[in-house]
Amino acid sequence: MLSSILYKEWLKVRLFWGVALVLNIGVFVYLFVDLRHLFTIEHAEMIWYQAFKIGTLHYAYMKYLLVITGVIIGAAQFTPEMIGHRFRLSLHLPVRPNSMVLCCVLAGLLGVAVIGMLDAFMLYTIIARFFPREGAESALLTALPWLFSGLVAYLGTALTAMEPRLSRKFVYLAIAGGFLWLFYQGNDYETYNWALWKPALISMLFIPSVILPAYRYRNRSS
Amino acid sequence: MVPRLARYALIVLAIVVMSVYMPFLYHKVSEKKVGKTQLFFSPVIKKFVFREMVGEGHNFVTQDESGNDYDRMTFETLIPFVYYKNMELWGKLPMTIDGRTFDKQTIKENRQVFELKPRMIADRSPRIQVFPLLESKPGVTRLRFPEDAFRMTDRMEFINVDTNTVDQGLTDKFTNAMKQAGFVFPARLTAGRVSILKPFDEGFFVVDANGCTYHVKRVRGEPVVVKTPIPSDLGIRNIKMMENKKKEIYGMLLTNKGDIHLITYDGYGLIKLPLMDYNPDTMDLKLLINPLYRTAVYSDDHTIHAVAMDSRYRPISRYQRVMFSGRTTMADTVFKALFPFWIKTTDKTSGYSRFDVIWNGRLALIGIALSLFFGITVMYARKFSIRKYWPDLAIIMFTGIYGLISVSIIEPER
Repeated sequence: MLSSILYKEWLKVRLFWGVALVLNIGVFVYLFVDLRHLFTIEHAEMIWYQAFKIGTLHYAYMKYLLVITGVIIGAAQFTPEMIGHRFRLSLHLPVRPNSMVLCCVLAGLLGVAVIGMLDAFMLYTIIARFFPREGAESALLTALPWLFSGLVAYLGTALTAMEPRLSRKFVYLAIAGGFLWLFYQGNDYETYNWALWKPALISMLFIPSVILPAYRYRNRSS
Repeated sequence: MVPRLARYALIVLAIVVMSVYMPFLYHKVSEKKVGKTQLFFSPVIKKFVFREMVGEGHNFVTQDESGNDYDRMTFETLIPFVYYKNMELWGKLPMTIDGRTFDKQTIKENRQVFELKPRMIADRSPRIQVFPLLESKPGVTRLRFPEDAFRMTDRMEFINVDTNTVDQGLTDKFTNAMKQAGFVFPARLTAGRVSILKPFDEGFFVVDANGCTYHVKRVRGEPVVVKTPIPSDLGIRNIKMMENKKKEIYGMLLTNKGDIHLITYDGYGLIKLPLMDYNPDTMDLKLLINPLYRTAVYSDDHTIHAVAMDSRYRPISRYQRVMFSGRTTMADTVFKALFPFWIKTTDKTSGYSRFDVIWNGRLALIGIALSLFFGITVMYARKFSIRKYWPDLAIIMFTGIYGLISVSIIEPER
C-alpha cells in the first residue's frame, strides 16, 4: 500500500517536479555560461584571487534555488488536496493515517533531495571546470546549507499547507521561515563548516511535526 | 500519543527559532553605539592616554592613566607620532622629545602598525589553500599576479590558471628546491600576504611536517628556499606577514600557547612580545611602532590591555582598564533575566558561523518564574488540566519565555 501511495504522490507532483528540474538545470547552464564569459573577459588569475582571497561567490545566485524547488513541490503536493478536500479521501485509505502522511512527505522529500543532489553534482562539475578542485570542494561546502534549506522549505510548505486553520498557518510559516533563515547567516565561503550539523539535525523534527496539522485536519479541531 | 509528540517536536522547533531571533531583536532595539577605547602610550608624558566613548552622540572622555582630562587637541599633541600630520599643520614639527628631534620624514619612516584579529588566525576562518606566488623581483614598478597558483600536497604543485592544469615543470622545479633545502612534505601551514597592493613581495613562510619553518620566494622565476632557524618545537599556529619598507620585521608569529613573536630580518631571529593575559581567540591585537617606543594594545569586548616597550621590546609600562563598552548595562541585566539562554549564530572573532547555546545564568530564574506563573494562569483560563499537560510546564521551566510563547501558540488538541 505504501508503495502505491508513493506512486500516487509521484503522479501528483511529476509535472511540477519536472518544471523544478528544468528550472534548476537552467540556472546551472546559466552558471556555466556566466563563468565562461567571465573567464573570457577577465584574467583568470584575477578571478581566482577574487574567489579565493576576497571571497566572491560566483555561484551565489543558486542560493535560494532549492528553497524555491522545495516550495514548488510542497505546494504542488498538498495545496490542491487541501483546497478540494481530497486529502480526506487519502486519510480513509486502509493504512494508518500517520504512516500515510509520513509516506506522502517522504515522497516529496525524495523529489527535492534528488534535485538537490543533481544541483550539487552540477555545481561541483562546473566549478571544477574553471577552478582547481579546492575551489570546487569549497563551493560544495558553501552550498550545502542552501541545499539543505530546500528540504526545510519543502517540509515547512507541507506543514503550512496541511494546517486547516489560517492563524496557525501563519505560526507554522513563521517557524519554517525563521528556521530556513538559519541556513543563510553567512556571506563568505564555507562559513557553515563547523555548525551546519546542529540546525540540520534539529530540522529533522519537521518530519514528525507534519503529523499534527494532518491530525487536526482529520479531526477538524481548532 | 503521536499527535502529542508531533506537537512537542513543533514546540522545540519554535523554541530554537525564538532563541535565535528574539535575543537578536532585543539587541537591535537596546544596543547603544559605544565604540572601542583608543589607547596609546604618550612619549611626551610617559603615560598611557585614552579616548573613550561614554554615551550616545559624541560623548567622549579623553584622559591619561592618572585620570587627568584633556581636550582633543592636547590629546593629539601627547601622541605626536600618531597625529604627525596634524602636528605639521599646527606648526609643531620638528619637535624634540627626550633630547631627540623628529621631523615629518623621520616619523613617517619609523612608524609601523601590525594587527592581528582573531578572524585573521588561519584556523579561525576558512581559506582555500591555493595561493599565488608572486615574482619578488618583477623588474617593473608594480607587483603582478602570476599566471599560476600553488597548493601544498606531497609536493609544491603549481596550477596554470588559464588551463586549470598542473604545470609539471614549475612543480618539479619548486618541489626539488624545497626538498634540497630539507623541507618535509606535507606542509602544516602556508602563510603569506596575498596582495599586489604592497611595496614588495616577501613570498611565503611554510611550516613543514616536522614543524620547521621555510621561507619560499620566486626570484626571477627561480625558487629561493631558506630554512629558517625558527625552532621546530615552537608550535606555530599562525604567521601574519606584513611587507614594509623598513625591512625590520617580516611579520607576527602566533604559537599554540598564545605567545606572539616578531620574525626579524636579522637572520629570522624571533622577538617575543611581553604580553600578559592575551587571548588570541578573543582579542584584537595592535602593535604600534614609533621612533621611540613600541606599544602592544590588545582587547576583547570587556577589557583593554597595553604594554609599552622600548626599542628592544623590553616592557617599560603596563596598563589595563575595563572599557565603557564592557560595563554591564541595565539592558544587559534585563536581557539575562528575560531570556534563560540564546543561540549564537554569528561570531565576529571567527569566519565560521556558530550554533551555540549560551546560558544566561541565575538571573534567568526571574524570567522563568514569571513565565511559569503566566503559563499556569493561561492553562487555568483555557481550562487545561495541569495533570495532563504538565510537560508544557516542564518546557516553560527549562526554556522560560520561549517555552511560554511556544506552548501558548501551539495549543494542545482537546
